[in-house]
Amino acid sequence: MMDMDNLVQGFMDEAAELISSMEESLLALEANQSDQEAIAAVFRVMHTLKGSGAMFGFNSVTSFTHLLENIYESIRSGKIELNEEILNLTFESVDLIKNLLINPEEPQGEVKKEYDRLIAIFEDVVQNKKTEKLEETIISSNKIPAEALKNPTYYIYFAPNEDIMKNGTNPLYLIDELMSLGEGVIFVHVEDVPEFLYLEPQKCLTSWDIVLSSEVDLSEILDVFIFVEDDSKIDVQKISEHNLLTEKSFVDQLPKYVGTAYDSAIVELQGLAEEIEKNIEKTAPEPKHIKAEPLSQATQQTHEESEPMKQSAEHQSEQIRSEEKKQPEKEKPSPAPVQLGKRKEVPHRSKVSSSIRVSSEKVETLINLVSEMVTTQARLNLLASEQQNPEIIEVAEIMEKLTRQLRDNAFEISLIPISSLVTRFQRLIRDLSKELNKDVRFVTEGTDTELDKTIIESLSDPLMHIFRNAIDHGFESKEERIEAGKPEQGQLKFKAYYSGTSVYIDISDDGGGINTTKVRQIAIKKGLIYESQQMSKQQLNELIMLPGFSTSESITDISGRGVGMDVVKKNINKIQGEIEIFSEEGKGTTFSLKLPLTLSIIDGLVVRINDIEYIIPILVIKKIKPIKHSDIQKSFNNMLTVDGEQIPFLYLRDKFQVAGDAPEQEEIVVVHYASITMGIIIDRVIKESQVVVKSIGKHFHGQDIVSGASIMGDGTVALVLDTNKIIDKYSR
Amino acid sequence: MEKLSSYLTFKLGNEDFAANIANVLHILGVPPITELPNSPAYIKGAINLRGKVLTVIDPHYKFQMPSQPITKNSCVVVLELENENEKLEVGALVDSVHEVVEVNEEELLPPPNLGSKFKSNFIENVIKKGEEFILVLNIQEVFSSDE
Repeated sequence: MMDMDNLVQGFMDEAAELISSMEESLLALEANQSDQEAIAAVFRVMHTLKGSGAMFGFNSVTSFTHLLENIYESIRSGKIELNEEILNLTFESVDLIKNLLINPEEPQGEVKKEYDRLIAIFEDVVQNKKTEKLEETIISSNKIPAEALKNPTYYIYFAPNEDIMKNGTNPLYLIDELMSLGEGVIFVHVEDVPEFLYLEPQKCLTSWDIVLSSEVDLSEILDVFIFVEDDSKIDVQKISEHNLLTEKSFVDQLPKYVGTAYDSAIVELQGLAEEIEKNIEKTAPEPKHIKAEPLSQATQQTHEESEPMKQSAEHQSEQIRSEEKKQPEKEKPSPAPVQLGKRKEVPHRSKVSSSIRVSSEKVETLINLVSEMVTTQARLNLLASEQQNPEIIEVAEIMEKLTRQLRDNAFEISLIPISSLVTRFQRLIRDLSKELNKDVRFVTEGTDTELDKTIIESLSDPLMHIFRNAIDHGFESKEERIEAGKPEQGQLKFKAYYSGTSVYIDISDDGGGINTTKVRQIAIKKGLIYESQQMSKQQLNELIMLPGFSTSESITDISGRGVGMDVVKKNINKIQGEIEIFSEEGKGTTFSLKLPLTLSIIDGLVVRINDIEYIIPILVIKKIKPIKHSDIQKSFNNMLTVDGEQIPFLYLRDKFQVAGDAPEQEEIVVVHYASITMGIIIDRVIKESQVVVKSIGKHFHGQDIVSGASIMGDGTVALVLDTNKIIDKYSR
Repeated sequence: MEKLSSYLTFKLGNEDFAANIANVLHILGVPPITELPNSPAYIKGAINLRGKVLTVIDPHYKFQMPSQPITKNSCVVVLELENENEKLEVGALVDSVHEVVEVNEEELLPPPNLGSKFKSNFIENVIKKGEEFILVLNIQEVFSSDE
């Protein structure tokens, strides 16, 4: 059996993800209130939360999201206009939902207060909306009755064979598919479903009556049942050329006709349809006050359905979905926006099914297994070539190809884009800048840069701190900015990019910069440096990351920063990253983080020195040239001429104290970092290869020119050279 | 009640040593070791341990013994250490692995005063086995990264 705790955990994970995606949409809405896509996204999140919240007993979440869902549904269909007030309320609601999610019990204390407050406000909004909506309904139905009626109405009776689920068909999917064709009302017959005790979950004893209004023709509806038509009872008939669902009298009477029938209710319905149609022809369409009633009917329907639907969780979500599908029916006078909303839903559903949630532990295990497989594969290749058996060689070759594909796939799985992290901050930055009354625009670049999940996770806190500091202390007040001739709105920029085997994240503000004079004074006062100590500007900037520097007084004392920057530095160092601060007074500050790609794949050049292989990241390589050993010996001032250019070089044989004689012919790999170029001399280049960079562990920490290691095809370990560090260290 | 603990015994040079089995993850034959350039002498290099890169330490240096050539008896003992609340794996290159012995807590003797022969904090206990003495290593001290 399934473990309930796991399920709840899964729900919480999903909810957290949904909420963060919703925040993203809300932020998009803040920028552009008419962003239909974002409105639909908010609606969907509310809808999903409502459904799964109910499933896991988070009743307060369900009732709350239900309200929000209604509001966004109305916005989506153009009934009410989104405004700043609603947006701000929604942001507050997000926080409340987060709190509600902590505990499935009834909310208490502060949370309860907030809950009641927001519910009251929202109910107000809904109330206002209703009056507006009603007016609109009247107007539009008077104007364009013909358009609302143009789709024909079908009646569908569907009683699947009771063994339908054994064939792997879920009848609910069929219903779903039907409902995607247009708008409709579903009636479920569960009279044959036995009591829970006698319930056979594998049997489908449910049948459906559906009244559907759709632009498609009969054959298209029949197509939905193409795989089940042989052993199910299906009856599809057109009952009217018009959309009868717009007729209150029809909708009202529907339950009477289909609700009681045990079999196809087509005859009865046809009669009803004819009658209604006559009425339409006779009288001009009256203003319809249909809104309230179908809603209550839908809810009632929900109750009726809920009993047998306990069969499985899937049923339950289905039920909610069908309810959602019914909602458009009550807004029929304006079919256009409904259609719009519907179309949007299709990509959403496919998006959901195209991703699955896997614990990172499992991914880690997968990666290790794949690495082991690569190793074993290399051995197989070796054995196959020794055996000289063409058949084995062939198998080994196929295996090799598969292994490579598997490896690439597995490693791709383990990386996630940094955007998953940035979204979280967008919200924080918005709130903080509002709170501190600073107008800050958050700009991101390179958020598709991928990093190992563990690194991304450990980045969250340090980045949060940096952002907080930037907004709190980095940006000047509006008045100061205007005085300094800067745009009123400050810009906070997040930029991520690859360089060599590292990922860089630059966080820059265009604020006041660090006041080094003040920093110096404080550092002296706190006894961190001597009064006479000479320091470069860079060193002074970095003083703010000293442990003793940050105290609460310093926040107000200096225009720069100083809250817990030492913690930031420590955390970044922990994941073997580095942090640098560049600042110019009056112009702004940049925090530059350099992070390792502990588990990232790089394109590397495999080179050999003596009998040891090393890897140089392709990204940094400018060119590769053969070079004679005698030329190196003749070189002057550690410079070589490559293609007419004088460049400094590093002779790795010497640097690594390699024993033995150098080969006559060596090769120079010219690498660059920023604007500096340098040659690295190795014995020879072996091949280009995609390599997985792994950390070489604590013991080797502090090693200067090796940034990681990789496991080669034959299972040996090759070291990845950190050319940036090499240049830093040896080029000046 | 008697309290038994298990120890893996191995040789470094001519001396018998033991490590608490709780710290031992694997015992491997010596795979190809990639030397790490410019590393301290006690770091032998890096190996591929089931897809992970593992640093291998040559403990001989820690006990001021000459490094031994790798023979068919040589083994890498993969140990788990705790470092600043983090689990850390490290390989120890030993000359041979012998057996797992079960020792009653009472048979664990306090570390003898070995004079200046070994750093005293490296030895946790001594097991007396017949006429032989086996030195129980303080894994944490011997294999933590500093020095």
